[in-house]
Amino acid sequence: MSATAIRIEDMHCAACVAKISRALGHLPFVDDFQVNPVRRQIHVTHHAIDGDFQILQSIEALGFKPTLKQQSNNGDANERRARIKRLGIAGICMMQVMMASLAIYFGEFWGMDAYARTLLAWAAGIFCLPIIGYCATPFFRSAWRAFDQGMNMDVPIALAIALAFGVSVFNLLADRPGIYFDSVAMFTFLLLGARHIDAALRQKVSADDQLFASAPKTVQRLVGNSTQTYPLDRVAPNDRLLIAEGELIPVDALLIDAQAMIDEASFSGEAEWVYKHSGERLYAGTYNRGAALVCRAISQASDSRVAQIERLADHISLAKAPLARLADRIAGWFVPAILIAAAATTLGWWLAGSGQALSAGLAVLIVSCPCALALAIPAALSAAMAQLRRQGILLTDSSILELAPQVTELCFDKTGTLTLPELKLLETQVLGHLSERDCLALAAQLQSYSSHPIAKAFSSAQEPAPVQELEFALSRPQVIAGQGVSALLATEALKIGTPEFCGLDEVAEPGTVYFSLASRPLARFRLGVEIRPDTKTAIARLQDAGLHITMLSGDQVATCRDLAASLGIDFAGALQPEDKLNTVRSQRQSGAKVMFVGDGINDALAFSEADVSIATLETSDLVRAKAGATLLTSRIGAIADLFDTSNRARAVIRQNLAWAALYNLIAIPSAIAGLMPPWLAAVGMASSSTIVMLNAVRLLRKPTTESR
Amino acid sequence: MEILGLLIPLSIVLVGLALWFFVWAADHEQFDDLDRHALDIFDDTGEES
Repeated sequence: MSATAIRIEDMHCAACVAKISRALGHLPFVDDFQVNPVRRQIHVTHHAIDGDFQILQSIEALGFKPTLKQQSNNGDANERRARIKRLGIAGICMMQVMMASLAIYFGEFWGMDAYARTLLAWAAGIFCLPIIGYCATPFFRSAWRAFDQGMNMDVPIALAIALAFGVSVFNLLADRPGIYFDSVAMFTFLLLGARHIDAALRQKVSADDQLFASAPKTVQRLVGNSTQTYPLDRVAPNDRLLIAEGELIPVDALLIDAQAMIDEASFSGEAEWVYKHSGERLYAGTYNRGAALVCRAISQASDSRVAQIERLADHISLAKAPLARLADRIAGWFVPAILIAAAATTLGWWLAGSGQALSAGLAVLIVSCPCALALAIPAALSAAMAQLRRQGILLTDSSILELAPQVTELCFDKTGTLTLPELKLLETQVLGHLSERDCLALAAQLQSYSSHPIAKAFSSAQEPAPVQELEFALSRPQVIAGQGVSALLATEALKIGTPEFCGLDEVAEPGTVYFSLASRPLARFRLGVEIRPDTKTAIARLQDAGLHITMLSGDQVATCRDLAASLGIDFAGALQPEDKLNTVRSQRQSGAKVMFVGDGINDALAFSEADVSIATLETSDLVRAKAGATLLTSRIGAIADLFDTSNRARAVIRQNLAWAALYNLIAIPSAIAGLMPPWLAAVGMASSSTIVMLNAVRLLRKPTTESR
Repeated sequence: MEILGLLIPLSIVLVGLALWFFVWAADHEQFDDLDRHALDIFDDTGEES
């Protein structure tokens, strides 16, 4: 039986609640549930192993977007605190136990009276109590659970700790030799240390996700007459915000303008756009479909965008890499084998009449703990994921780490992937009486009412030489889709857009925008896309790595040819989304492993076909959800880093597995042969786990060959 | 050697005190954020963050 909290961002009304309740009621494995529409959460208790996943699926089938609620920060902090307490107490006590035990060992050589030896042994035993009673409890609990859930690697650990402690106490009370308090303490402490490193790595990964999720989105905030870009999360009630055409309304707000056209589909489910009048309430998460509007915030920033990204990050925890499952399988047969070997060793030595029987059996148990084997793969995977996060790649599917080293064919989308996604103002040709600078400033202000990609080119075109606070008194802005933007400057119509829209007698050319005042031409702007600054070096790095690169684009063949030639890669132009899919499919059918990097909705089909798919930073969330990884940086070179890191991760996994196998091959036979006292077994076992962890941590170092 | 009979119980008590202090520190958030406070010196707003 397990309890789950699920957040449903788009559950707003009683009808949604009824729909979800009905669906949950039909699921046979759901025991109980509560729906909380205010907090947009449901709490479910169920008794299916993959129940969480099935519940998510059935809610998704209703058209909602559910997310498993992430563990609260507070829970993480408590867990971390408990871990540190266990490790710290084990460390302090272990030192005391070792101090007493060393005194006893030296006493054997230099002579120690029985009184002092007994006293020291008792002290060691007492210092062991917190370790047994508190620090080692996670192992005991996990081993206990293993009785109904199948073997895990905590069974021999718990058995070794309990047996060694029990035998020691018995021998202490009976005043006999054979006291292993030192082994118990050292073993527990080193194991907790290895687990602490592992858990810290994992938490680092999820903390980075949250950092990414809370990346500030910006809004246009009005101060006096001018706008400023302002972080969304600092918007306070009463701030005046300018929402451009087509943009999301980020917070609950009251409309200041006379009227506005709002798309509330996400809120009410109504596809019809609604007219709002001055003073009416605009809800966070709805879209402005009319002209740019000004509104007054009445709440703090909503988390709708943040929640979308959190949802993406949640996928990681749902998917478990096949390699990690392999580790569990190894533990599954390794553990019973070890238990049998330990029992056989004890029995064999006992039958042979040796006093070392128990000690040899304990050594087998302790030395062979499959931690090194079980940690070998997950440690490397979590370190590699943390490293990729630093390099700017968010994995939504950890199996990419295993697939990437096998990739032979690499396909790129052109626009937005190899090139920058934004249009850039390439050339300004002045046609009227205004200077180039004034034209740009005026055009930029006019375009700020629109959210069309062309409009963004103007705001960034100003950046290198910002025009001083030039504010023109523009009124009655209007955005006309597919044509342009107009407004009144004093009483004259200022227009930017197609020649017809501007009232000019010119032939429309692709990539050219006209600017006019009262039908007199002011300027002509030429816009185009620019290649990303690091595309060339990244492509060269990838080709050096032996990958065959193809550019798949929907653009005209002629435009593609120039770019492909300058990069030295193959290309195919004028492709429909289905053509991209077919290209990837035919490459796969010829035996290649294909990675596809793209950004748009037209790449989504190819994403689902490719072995590995990667979305760029600017990709819409809808498409991102289909990709296995998302770039968090605008550097396309991050793709090359992905190959480097996954190759290194594969190497580390191999080294770790080889080391763990070698260690066990040497250590287990010598323990069976009785050549290893339990304390040496404890040191050997724990250090082999530590070596595996440290080897994985190596992945976090910056590679020396990296060019930045 | 008889002095050990006093010193060893005494050391157990001292270690107990050390453990108590460690647990107290862990429970009072002393180990929760080991990175941030080093940077506090650069914060000139004067607010506690």
